[in-house]
Amino acid sequence: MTIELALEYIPRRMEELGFGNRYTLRFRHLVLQPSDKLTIDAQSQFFILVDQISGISVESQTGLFDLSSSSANEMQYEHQGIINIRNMNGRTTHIRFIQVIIKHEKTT
Amino acid sequence: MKETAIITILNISRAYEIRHFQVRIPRDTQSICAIELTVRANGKSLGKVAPVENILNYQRNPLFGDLMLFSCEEGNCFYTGELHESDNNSLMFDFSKFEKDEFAEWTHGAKQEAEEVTVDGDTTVVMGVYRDKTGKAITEIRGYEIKVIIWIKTKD
Repeated sequence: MTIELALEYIPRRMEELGFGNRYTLRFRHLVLQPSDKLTIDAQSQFFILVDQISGISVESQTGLFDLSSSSANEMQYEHQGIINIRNMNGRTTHIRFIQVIIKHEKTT
Repeated sequence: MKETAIITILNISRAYEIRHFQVRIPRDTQSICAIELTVRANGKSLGKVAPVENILNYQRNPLFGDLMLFSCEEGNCFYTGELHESDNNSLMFDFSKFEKDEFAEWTHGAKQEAEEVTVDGDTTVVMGVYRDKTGKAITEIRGYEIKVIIWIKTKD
């Protein structure tokens, strides 16, 4: 997914899920060392992958993004919940996400 | 109000397979009211124990995989379920079935129970992700078939 497409997609998706414009965006550029594993707790958040990199595996409750995998019939760019990122390359690899953080509803 | 079932069949044949699928929901749907899952192995059953073994001892129910369903509205992820072929402990302390390997309620995936959910009928599509957890045992059972049954309520 390109950054342009992600920025077009996010407002529509948030509207669909009933959040309207109650969210903030953060651009996350992660740097993973060879064989690095990273776990992100993204409950009530969305991580939109804006890169298409080989040698990286991104797995969450919504699916898998791993261009070398033959086990999935679809690659997932929108991740939620506990996200496990693994660098399977023998070199340092960069991966970029747009993080959508849902704001708490104000209570009176 | 009328209840209708939409059945989606998935055939899983590879270890640790992740299967994405979509189910179209009819236009006149008021709500999605229940989800039911069944599984049937193509070959040998996975870890089904003879009644003589489980009459007194608690047995583990082998896990086939897990399923998550997402709606296209406020509900988002509305269902998460684990898939077991049968309940190995359903015959515990039932001495009438001693030394008989026969069909009974809740064995062989023959009888399932629908789990209630409440999802608005506005969702046009339900998206699902199924993950296989059988691993290497999948070669022993030669793949399996899952039925995802979505119960919907429509106007008469």
